[in-house]
Amino acid sequence: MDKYLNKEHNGQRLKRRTAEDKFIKNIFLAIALICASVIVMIVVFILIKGISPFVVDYSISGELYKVNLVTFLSGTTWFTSPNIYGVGYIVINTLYITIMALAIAVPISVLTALFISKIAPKKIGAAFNYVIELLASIPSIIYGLFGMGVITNQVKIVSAFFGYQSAGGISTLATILVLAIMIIPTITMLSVTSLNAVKQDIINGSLALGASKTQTNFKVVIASAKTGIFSGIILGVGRALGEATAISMVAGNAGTGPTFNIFDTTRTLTSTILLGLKETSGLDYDIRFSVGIVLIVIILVTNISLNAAKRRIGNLS
Amino acid sequence: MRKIKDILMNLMTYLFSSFGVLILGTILVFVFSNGFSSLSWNLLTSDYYETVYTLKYETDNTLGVYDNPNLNDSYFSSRWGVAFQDTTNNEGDSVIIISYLDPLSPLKRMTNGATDGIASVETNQVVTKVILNDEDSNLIIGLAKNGAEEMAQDFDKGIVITNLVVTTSGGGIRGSLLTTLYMIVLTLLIALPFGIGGAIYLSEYAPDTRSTRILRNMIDMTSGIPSIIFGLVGAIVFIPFMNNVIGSTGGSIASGALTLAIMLLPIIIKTTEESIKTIPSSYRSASLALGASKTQTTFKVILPNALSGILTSVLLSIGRIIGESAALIYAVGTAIKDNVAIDENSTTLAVHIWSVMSGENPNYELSYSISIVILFMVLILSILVKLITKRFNRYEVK
Repeated sequence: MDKYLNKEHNGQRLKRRTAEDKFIKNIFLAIALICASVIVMIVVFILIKGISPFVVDYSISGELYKVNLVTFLSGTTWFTSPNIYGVGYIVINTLYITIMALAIAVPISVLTALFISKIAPKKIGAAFNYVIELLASIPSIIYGLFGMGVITNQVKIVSAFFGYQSAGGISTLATILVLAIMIIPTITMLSVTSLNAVKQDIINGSLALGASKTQTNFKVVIASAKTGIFSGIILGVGRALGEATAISMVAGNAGTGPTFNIFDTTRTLTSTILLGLKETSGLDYDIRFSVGIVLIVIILVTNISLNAAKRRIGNLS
Repeated sequence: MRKIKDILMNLMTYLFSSFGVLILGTILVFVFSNGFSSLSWNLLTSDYYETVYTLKYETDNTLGVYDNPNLNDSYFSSRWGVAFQDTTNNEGDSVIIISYLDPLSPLKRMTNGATDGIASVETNQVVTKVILNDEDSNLIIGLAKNGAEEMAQDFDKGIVITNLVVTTSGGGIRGSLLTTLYMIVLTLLIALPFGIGGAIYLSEYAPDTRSTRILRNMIDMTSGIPSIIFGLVGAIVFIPFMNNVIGSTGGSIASGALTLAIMLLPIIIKTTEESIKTIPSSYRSASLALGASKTQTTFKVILPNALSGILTSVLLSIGRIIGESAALIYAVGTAIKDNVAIDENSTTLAVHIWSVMSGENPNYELSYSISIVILFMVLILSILVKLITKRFNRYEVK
């Protein structure tokens, strides 16, 4: 009898524990769902707020205004009173600056990674790697400060040398340089990882065929690590497009554009959102969320297309 | 021919790879050389805004004699034990500051004219005006525009101070330091339970199905969103939310912490999940075989063993919180505060830099000093992460 009771007791305990397991599992599931729903929340709220300038009437000095979507997307002037906003040239500026920054950052990053991973003695390589990690952890506000305090001064000197009057060095060139410095650590770190993963067999094979060490490094090692390097570039582009504080400190927020002269002031999507913020309601505030939508769309499109390009590069080898 | 080309290529590699070191060196040299001189304990502990005090000392001080410390550029009043110095303030105006104060000086036991409480002047405070009485009850008025030398002489003449106007030096970052601390603690309190819970679900419970992959992708996508977008979300979601919940008006540290928390979730989930993955599955089997339930296994075996990963994610998060500016500019605001409260707006160190740099007269010197503080914190965090990963790797080899 005693035994029987015990058994039943055990059965109950087992049941209770299974129920408890299930309950805890559901709690964890709920937490995971909340974490995942963050992205939905971001998209939904930014969309609602960002679309409203085009559909809702805003009262500006007694009259009601909407923003025209077509002029918004194709505009070459950010703001014309009272309700004309244009973001088209800002998109071009942003892409131009990003491409130029990549043109500077990619060669430096890849060669630095090559040096760290294959050329430098182990200790020096590790030291360089640590320097890169430190650079990656420096906050963007300090890069912005560095840009304002050092880079703009140098740009001012250079532009004066070309006989060009720049706005105290606040310019496209300064923006490009700050951005390039900021994305070098990102690209370098991923490149180092992928260069380290290149198989020694491939290197030995190349050396055995009579190629010199340098030829091997440049023609074999980098070529076989290109997918990883490309992943680094994708991350770098993401950082370049989304960077706000540092850029806002050196861009100058030009009212019209697009700006291709590197000594002229410029305006990017992020600096448009960040700068000139005065009130927290009204059309001038809400339109920033529309710029936010444009930013998200551009990041999404570049990400998708770059990832497609990465797959093609990966297939070629 | 090939050799020349090789040498050229190698040279190029050396040149390009030295660029990173060069940049780090330039940033460090630049920030330290400009900011170190004004970095002091005083800067870290004093308020940002100047406060004007009116003080008096109405006891007869005929017999006061204090030793002159003979400081450079300072003028000493031996009767009151105080030295004055001509200097310029943050705005570039010439002012007189108290450069030395004798430990026994009567100026340490003055009366606050407004509150009648006991008040003390401190070194580095700015003296704008003083009214004294001498033995014959004649009025002596010392003004800042006459310079430190005359100020010291005026002090020596008088035996009673009927009115002394001093201003605290201001420009300190105590409020912003506190805000940064509050922000770190509050953000981690919100983000860690969710991040760790999500990581445990994904690595321990989630079945390998399509829906799990979608869940994972959604979390990955969150990490690709730039911080300024999080700021926008904070401004339209969390500020109104917090206004309703804790009754704040406008942005607050709480709304900023919520914003940063959702921003940090992907990092915490990823780092924690990585470390859970390295726990050998034999640990789980052993725990289950010993009769522990799945829940017990999760809390008593998985979590303790994932501690290094959780710690790493905490350190990485702290680094991000210290450096974050764009999101907080929107989700909290840019008004610098001396009195910090969770339901009010305030600036972290990074936003403090933004605030003083984005005005009409950018304050470079203060910004560089704050940058040194930030860089110091970031450096310590990075060394800690290195140490933890090292220990972690040793454990893995075992």
